[in-house]
Amino acid sequence: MIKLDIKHCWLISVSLFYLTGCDLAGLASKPKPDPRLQDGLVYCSEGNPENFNPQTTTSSITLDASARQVYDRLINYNSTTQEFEPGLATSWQTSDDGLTVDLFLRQDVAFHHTSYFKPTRSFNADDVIFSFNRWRLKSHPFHDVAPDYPFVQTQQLNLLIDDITALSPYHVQIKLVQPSSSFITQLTTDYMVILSAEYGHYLNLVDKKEQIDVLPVGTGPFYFAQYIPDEYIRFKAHPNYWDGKSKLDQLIFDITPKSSTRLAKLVTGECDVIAYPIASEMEILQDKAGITLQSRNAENIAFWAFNTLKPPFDKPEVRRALTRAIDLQTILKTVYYGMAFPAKSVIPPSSWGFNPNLTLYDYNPELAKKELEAAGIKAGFEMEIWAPHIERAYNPNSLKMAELIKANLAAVGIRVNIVDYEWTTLRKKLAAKEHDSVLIGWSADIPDPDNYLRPILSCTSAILGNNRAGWCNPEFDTLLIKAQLSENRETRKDLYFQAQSILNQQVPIVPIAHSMSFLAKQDNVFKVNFSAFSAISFRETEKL
Amino acid sequence: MFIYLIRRLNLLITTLFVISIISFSLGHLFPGDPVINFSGHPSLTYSEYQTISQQLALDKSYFEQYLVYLTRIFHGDFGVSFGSQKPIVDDFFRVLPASIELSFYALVVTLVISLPLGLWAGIKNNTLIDRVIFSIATVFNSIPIFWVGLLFILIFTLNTGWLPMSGRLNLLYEVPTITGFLLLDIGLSELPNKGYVYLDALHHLILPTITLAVLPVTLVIGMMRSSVIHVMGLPYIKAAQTKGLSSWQLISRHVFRNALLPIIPQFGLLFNTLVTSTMITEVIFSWPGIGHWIIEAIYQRDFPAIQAALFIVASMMISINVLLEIAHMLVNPLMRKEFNATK
Repeated sequence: MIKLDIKHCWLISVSLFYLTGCDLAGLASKPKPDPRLQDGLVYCSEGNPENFNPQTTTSSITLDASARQVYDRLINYNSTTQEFEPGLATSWQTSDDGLTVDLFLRQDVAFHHTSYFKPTRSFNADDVIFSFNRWRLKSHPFHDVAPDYPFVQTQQLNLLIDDITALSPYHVQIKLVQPSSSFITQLTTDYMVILSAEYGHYLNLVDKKEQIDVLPVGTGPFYFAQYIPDEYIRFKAHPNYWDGKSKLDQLIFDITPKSSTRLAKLVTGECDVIAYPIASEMEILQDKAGITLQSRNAENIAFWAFNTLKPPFDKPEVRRALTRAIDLQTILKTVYYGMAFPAKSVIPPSSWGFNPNLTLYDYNPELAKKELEAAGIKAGFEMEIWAPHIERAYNPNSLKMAELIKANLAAVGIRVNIVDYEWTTLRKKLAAKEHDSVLIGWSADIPDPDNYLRPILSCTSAILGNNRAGWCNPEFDTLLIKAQLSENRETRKDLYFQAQSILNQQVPIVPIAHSMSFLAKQDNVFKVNFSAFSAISFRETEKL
Repeated sequence: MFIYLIRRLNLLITTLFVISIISFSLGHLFPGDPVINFSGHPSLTYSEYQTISQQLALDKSYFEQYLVYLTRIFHGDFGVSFGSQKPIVDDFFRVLPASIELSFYALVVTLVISLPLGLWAGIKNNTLIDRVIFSIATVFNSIPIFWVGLLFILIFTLNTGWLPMSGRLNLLYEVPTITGFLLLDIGLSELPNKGYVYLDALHHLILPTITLAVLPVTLVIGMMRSSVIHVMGLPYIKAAQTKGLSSWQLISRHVFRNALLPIIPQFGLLFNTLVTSTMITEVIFSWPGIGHWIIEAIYQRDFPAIQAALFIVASMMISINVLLEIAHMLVNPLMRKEFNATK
């Protein structure tokens, strides 16, 4: 046996170990917070935005990332007081015949000064005309930059507006083809943003038109600084914001698709605010000191849409049978943990347009099986259910929901393949109508029953919008148009009741739930605007 | 010697060839149109489609297509990503430094910890110290790395709040990318109070680095230990001892060096473990490197990116392995002798 001097061995190993070890111990103690971190806010969002222009999309991720941070609207809607408030327009007036709307614009509103564009003038009527004409007129140089403008096209605002003129640099007049009860409300939505006409002209000159939606310039409280997909978006405070510079110097959207990771990052303080904590995590959040929850009304609908352009889903009897095969109670319990209302119709019960007299399809697998056989669907029939793998306000866990439906359908002899897509990819593929069925939903933009029906079920939306069922029923569409033209609420109510009966009969989509949605934040963060009918806004947010 | 080199190069080229074939066939095997899969442009007009189809020779035989594909690869053209619509090579080199940085620190930690421990365990063979070190190494060797990572997050992040759990730096610090290596970039940036930023970056580094180092550390401890035991039993150690060398001299001059030499070629193996573990670690700690990028590409069905990632990562690993082997042969005369003898 060799005799060794133990001391030396100790020295080598311990000193080496110590070199790394002491560093760790020293770093592990909490450092004093850097003042710079106090002036910025990290919002952990749930996915990649498609671009930074709300006009071109209805995806709430895109809206959250741009509508209320980068841009302003002419008029704002305050959901607490339920009143309109001046935005870029200081006042507005509708003529007695309802055909002319006069808007008086705010002066000295500065556009963003960014690394890619330096504005030379402030906001005026040209910008309003430029922004509205972009989605309104095919001849507009930027109209073809985006494939479509789903919100305005499904609301048919492009057809409603006859002409927009500037009577002076700060006075815009909009002429309508027919009176519209909801036009002013629609101006307050996330989609009615004001872009910079000067930026547009500049991009047109340098032939980089696509850049307008990717590198945005607006008048909003924050300007766009940087976006790295799957990582983060960086916004900085607009120093000359007309309503006073934001209390935050920086706003970061930390893109964190996994809900459990967002939750953990909130607990460790890496996120100041997180999007959509899911119901199963509520208990942890409620008990945690230093964290508060904010909730938002259930102004949304989660549904299961069949691609009605694809046999056998084109047959109403097949769709009805499939509806009967689904156990909605279990879904509400296991997916929503009771944080949702069962959906009896597409319109939630809180709305005046909700029809309480519909006969519902009760869960009845035996009957479903018989009906499927009668409709010619043999046992062993295979279908796909597509499900996005991120949480949405209306659906905390579409994959789990898909699993439950898969089990339900297995009981009636149908084999289901669940296809799970990333959000942006899913939306592209859905627009191409490649699916059999999809678990998706809709959040309302304005407090009007029409907003639940037209964007997701009308014929126009089947072509270019969010009608994921591809369903087009002329009778249903006529009812919607009649309702929109009418000023009388009772008449409208009656028309919406009829429309819902048609839906209940045809089942292009199976309504599942109206989910409450939540936002969780650190206690030192105040005034995050998280309310129904609006994308998230950090305009007034403070961090103490 | 020459023949040896030829053999190694042959191995390299054959493997690269097979990988390129696989990567090429993926373009056809992925669902969807090969023109779109190869180019990465999801919506093409008819004339664009025709042009690209001709450029890629997709209207010709598979063999010709493959040749065009190879030419493109040699020019570094892997098409554009579905997701970002930027050239994949750009995306790849944007995320690569983060992975290299992480692996490099893990490698340093590995060597600093495992070589002394392995040496110590080997010298004190069959004593309590040896058993303790060796059992701990075996335990950590058997634990899957993703579990270690989660465990660390649970202990050091969620329960104690000592360390952050994701990313390379607090996002509120805006460090311009110059080299892509964060610690260098912080130094090159013009931020005031860099101390805070460095501290934050180091905080973010600790957990991923340790998680990543766990497996290599245990492997190297094992290798080093058995190599030391082997060397210690050799006659020249006894001879050196009888000459009256102190233990310190004996270990530093003879045991350490001679024990290290045979395990150097196994570092190639270590490298493979490191690359695979880096990907897993990156996903756990949301570290914006290659692994994170590939996983996102898979979720987004970004076929051109998956295809390119497969080719680039696989070729990098094979090339480095072969280079390591050749380098080892050049520095270790014993290897050459063995090779000549068995020829």
